[in-house]
Amino acid sequence: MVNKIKASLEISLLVFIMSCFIIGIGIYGVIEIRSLNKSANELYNDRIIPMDELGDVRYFNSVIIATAHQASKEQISYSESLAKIKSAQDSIRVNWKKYLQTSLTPKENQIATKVDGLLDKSLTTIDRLELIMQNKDKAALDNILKNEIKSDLNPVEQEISNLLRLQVEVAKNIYRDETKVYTGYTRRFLWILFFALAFAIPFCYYLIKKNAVIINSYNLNNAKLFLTEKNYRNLIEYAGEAILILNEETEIIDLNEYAIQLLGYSRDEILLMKIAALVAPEDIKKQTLDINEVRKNKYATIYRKVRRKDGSYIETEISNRLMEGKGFFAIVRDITERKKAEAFIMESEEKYRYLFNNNPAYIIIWDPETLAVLEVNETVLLKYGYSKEEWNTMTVLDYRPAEEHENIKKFARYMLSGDEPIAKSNWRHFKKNGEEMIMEIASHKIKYNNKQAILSLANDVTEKVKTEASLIEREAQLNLFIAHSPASLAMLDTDLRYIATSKRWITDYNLTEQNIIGKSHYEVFPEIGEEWKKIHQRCLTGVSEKREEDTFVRADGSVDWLRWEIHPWYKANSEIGGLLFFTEVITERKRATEMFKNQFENSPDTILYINKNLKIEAINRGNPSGLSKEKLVGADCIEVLPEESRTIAREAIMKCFETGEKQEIENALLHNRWVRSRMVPIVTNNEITHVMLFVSDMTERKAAEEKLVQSEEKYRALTENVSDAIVLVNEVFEIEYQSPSSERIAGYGFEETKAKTIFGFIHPDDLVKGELFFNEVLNTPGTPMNNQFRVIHKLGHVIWVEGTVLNLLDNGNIKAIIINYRDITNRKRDEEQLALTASIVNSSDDAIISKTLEGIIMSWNKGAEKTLGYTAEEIIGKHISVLIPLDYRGEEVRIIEEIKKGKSVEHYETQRMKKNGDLIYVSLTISPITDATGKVIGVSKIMRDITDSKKFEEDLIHYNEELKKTNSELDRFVYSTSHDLRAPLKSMLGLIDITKNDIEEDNAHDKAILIQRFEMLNRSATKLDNFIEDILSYSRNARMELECNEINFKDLITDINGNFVFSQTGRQIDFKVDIHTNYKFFSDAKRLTVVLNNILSNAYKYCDPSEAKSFIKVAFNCDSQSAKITIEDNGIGIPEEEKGKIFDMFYRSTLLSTGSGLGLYIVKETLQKMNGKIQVVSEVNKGTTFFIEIPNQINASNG
Amino acid sequence: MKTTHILLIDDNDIDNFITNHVITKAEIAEKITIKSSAIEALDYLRTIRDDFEQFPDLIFLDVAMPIMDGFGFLNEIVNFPKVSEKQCPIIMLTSSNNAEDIVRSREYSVVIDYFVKPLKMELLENLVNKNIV
Repeated sequence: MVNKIKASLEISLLVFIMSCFIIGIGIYGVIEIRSLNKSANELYNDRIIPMDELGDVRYFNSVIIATAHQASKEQISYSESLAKIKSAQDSIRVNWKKYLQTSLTPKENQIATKVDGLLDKSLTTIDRLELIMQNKDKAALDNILKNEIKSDLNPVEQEISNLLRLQVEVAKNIYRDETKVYTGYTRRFLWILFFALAFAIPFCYYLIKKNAVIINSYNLNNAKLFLTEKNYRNLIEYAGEAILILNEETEIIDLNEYAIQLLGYSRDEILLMKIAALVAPEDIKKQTLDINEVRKNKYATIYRKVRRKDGSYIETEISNRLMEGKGFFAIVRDITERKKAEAFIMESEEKYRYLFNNNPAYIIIWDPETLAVLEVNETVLLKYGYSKEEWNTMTVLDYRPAEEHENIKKFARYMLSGDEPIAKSNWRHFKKNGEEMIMEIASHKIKYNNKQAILSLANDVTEKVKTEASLIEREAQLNLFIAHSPASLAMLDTDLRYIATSKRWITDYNLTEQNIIGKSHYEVFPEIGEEWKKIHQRCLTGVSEKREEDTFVRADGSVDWLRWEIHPWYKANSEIGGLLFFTEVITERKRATEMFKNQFENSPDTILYINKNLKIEAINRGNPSGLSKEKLVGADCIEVLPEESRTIAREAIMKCFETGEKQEIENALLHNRWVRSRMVPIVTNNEITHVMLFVSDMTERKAAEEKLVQSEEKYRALTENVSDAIVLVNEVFEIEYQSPSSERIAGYGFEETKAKTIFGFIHPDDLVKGELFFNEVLNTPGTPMNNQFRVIHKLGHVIWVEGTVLNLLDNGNIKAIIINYRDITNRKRDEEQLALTASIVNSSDDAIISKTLEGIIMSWNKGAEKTLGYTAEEIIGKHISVLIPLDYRGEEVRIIEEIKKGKSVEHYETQRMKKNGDLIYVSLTISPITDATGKVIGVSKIMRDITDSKKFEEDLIHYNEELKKTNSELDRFVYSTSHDLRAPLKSMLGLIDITKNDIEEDNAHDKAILIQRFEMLNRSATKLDNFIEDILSYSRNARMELECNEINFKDLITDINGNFVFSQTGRQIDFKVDIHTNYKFFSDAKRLTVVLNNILSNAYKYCDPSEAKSFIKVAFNCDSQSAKITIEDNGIGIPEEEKGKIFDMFYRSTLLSTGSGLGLYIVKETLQKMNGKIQVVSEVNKGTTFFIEIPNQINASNG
Repeated sequence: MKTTHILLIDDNDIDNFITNHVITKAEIAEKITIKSSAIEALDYLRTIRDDFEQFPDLIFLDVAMPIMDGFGFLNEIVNFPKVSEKQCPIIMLTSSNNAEDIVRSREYSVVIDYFVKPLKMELLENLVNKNIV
């Protein structure tokens, strides 16, 4: 909605703005047009009209002149001409006057004034002319025509013409101005238009979009609406109930299939029927009321009899809902069946009600959820005393005792949730007057008014229960009594079967695993003899028996002593119900008593029997201090002790009584006697009633112990506190004793080494040494001997021990060999380490030097001697700077700084100076030397001579460069070669192709053409062949070794020249050879041929065609050392800048060059192989000379 | 119809002969000029540098030539008006299809193609189809 408003606002705004713009433009346009109009006006009034007037003036002027002429020629009469002239004159005057009235520019004014003057003159002349005409004076006419007419009237014409032109000009200006105005206006208009559009278009676009959104949303809403309606329609159609839709007038406007079926009408029939038409006549009145009800409350459920089309009636339940202002929405349910059922139920209910009320049993129906009483029958009313009204308000808790409430609730829950339809139990109920009843209740789960309810059927069992209860109580009491009797009790029936026993009975006879209740006594004790059975039978007659001591032989043969009693017991009806056994097993007691007596009397110790009051109840002998046995009994046990012992004794005895733990003390008695007292608690019936005291005399032993302990202490202190291990062995070297330190050193405890020989612990490699050594020991008693052995530690590793062994087998007290040893593993390891380090340092090729932080050299190994030249004696003690060249002194300081910080310097490349002053390149690795605490105390230097490797590096770089050069040369070679090899072939292929085509097309039958083609093929092929030859000779030169033979130079050069003589150029060139030699010339003929061939080839190729007499001169001079050859020509020469390049691979310096460019390169290479040299001297257009020198291999060959 | 003037530059006279023969047979040129070196060709072209009529309409240029090779020639010729206005395209001719040469030729926009010798009729037909001639 808001959007809509906003949108329309915007549209209005847009329209408004655009209108403003249009109006604005319009107004502006109108303004501009007005100015244009003004101009046009001006043009017309001030220009056109005057022009017309001026024209008239000029015309009439001419008319006058013409008329005059006509008159003079007598073409017209004088009067006629007069009339004409007069009228013309008038016209002139009039027109001129009119013209002067128009607006004139200053320029025009100027001329007009002039014209004014002239016109006066001319008008005067015209007046004269008129007179002449009047007079008909021909002569005068002619005269005036000749003179004044021309002189007076013509100027006027002239000026008029000027004025006319001016008019045009002014008009033109006006036009120009107008145009400017026009163009200006146009431009401005266009700009405004542009801006307006620039504003309007985006704005319009924005509006359109916005409107589109609104439209979209409308569409969406419509769609939704449509869908909703569809859904709604579907809902109605497929509802499971008959649905009617009524309008405000209760006419049926819509219904679904169900409704159609239910009512029997067709759709068309029923639509627009009033609902009242369907209602049974008797319900009509109610209908109106109900409709009003719905209108008021918006909703109502109505029960109506509805008439179907076929006249039958159905009971319906109608849920009618008011649709706001639009009518009613009714769901109609057929409840005919339901009604019938209800009626039926009603009937049955009557029957049940009758049953319910007249039942003699007590019936209460209650709600298990709320516990409210729903119904009670007459019998209940009578019995409980509550009135009917009271019952209506009561719950099932109200007539029960408070303590049962929880149970009832639980019961209710149980009934609710459980599947049990019936449960039977006893409950306590109270009458209104407080009287208690025990009711046996059967509770049934029923449905009461469509709800879960419990129907409780109760029987009064109060009396029964009471009686039962007291009986049970009696029985329980009896059982309890029996069970807890401290005596061994058993209650049996007349068949001697157990009814009950006391716990004691079970434990006494070890029957804890069995449950003997119900079993026969003879079953449990099969060993019972006949005599006993007889006794039992006798007792069953009513006699009681007992015996103080009786033996009883068990099944397993063991004998027990018993004390027993047997009594009969009587039932309620005075009959004998069975027997009561009372027994006491006294076996243990008897035995114990005997034993005790024995021990008591014969013990070497004095035994006292003390009671809780610390009085002596019994004592087995007289006290050493003199008191007799008898006297001591009853005395206080503490009092008989000496002063110093009393406290400790009392304490111990009390502790014993309290804790029930045995105590032991040593206390003094009179006369310096020492006794040890042991106290043992005596337990009777789980209670400590007495303490037995066993007192032993240990005076002497004590003394001896003291002494021993003392000396033992001494020795123990000695052996245990020595960190060295001490081992005592016997003559066969079995270990008899080892000190604790032994375990520390070797890992074995004494238990492990006891009685084993020491050889078992010595390392196998040292066994031989060990045996020899210990034999020595045996042979030299009393003399301490030293040695070192390896021992296997318990953990498996090897330790070094060093020990002293002393043979004291002969010594009476000791009788053993004493081995005293210590662990020297670390020491040994350090020694080894040191030796290893020293050998490494010594054997290293690198210089290993150590120096103090100040730079004083402290150690100098063999490697250092070799590398630097100084011996150890020379250099140790001197400062390190003797080795450092001046340039590098600064390094040392920096390095020391790093070292002091604890850092190492690795692979530091620098230079050092040997003893002989040579500088060498070295790589240094410098590390700090620290002491045990980590403090830097010195510097260790490893110095490696890298001079060689440095040189190697440089060589490597150099060779790498060379290789790169070679590779690029190779690339060039490959490129050029591949090209130069292929080019001639391509040419040949091309030639062949076109020749073939020509032959096919019949164009080349001419022999001459074919011959020409073949000639060309030949040339290309030869070129290719030559090139390949060049490459081969280059290759040969490179690969093959020199083959030196005697060379006849003259023959050689003549041969070579022979190749060229027959070529075209060759014929014209004069070839001379000059030979000076005293020695035989030995060299590689093949190679020399290649060299000479190439140079001569060039000489022939590059001869100067303009030269009349071309020549090539070859000179040969040979001595013992070498041969010098010069080849001179007067050809085209080689430019200065190219001389260096001509020996390069593939270099062709001139356009005439048809070769591969390899020629001179090959020459150079070949000569190099021969250890020869070549030089070139040349001047363009003059000639070239090559100087070659080749070693004479005369000696090599002969050698 | 204007005169198609084709210029051949190659140091090998046999190759020139072949190229000339093929072009003549294809009848795509009214006038064929042959120069045996790049230097000669340049001298010739300098004389008719600005004359669009006389200046060739197409140049077949050999790569491998002594002293100044095909690329040297290209460097000089790209500034000539008819060439720079793409009115005179250049086609390189070579004996071998060396990849480096091909790549290098691509740097010159005036070089429209790269043929391997010998020149064949089909290649010329191609040119006609492309309206080069």
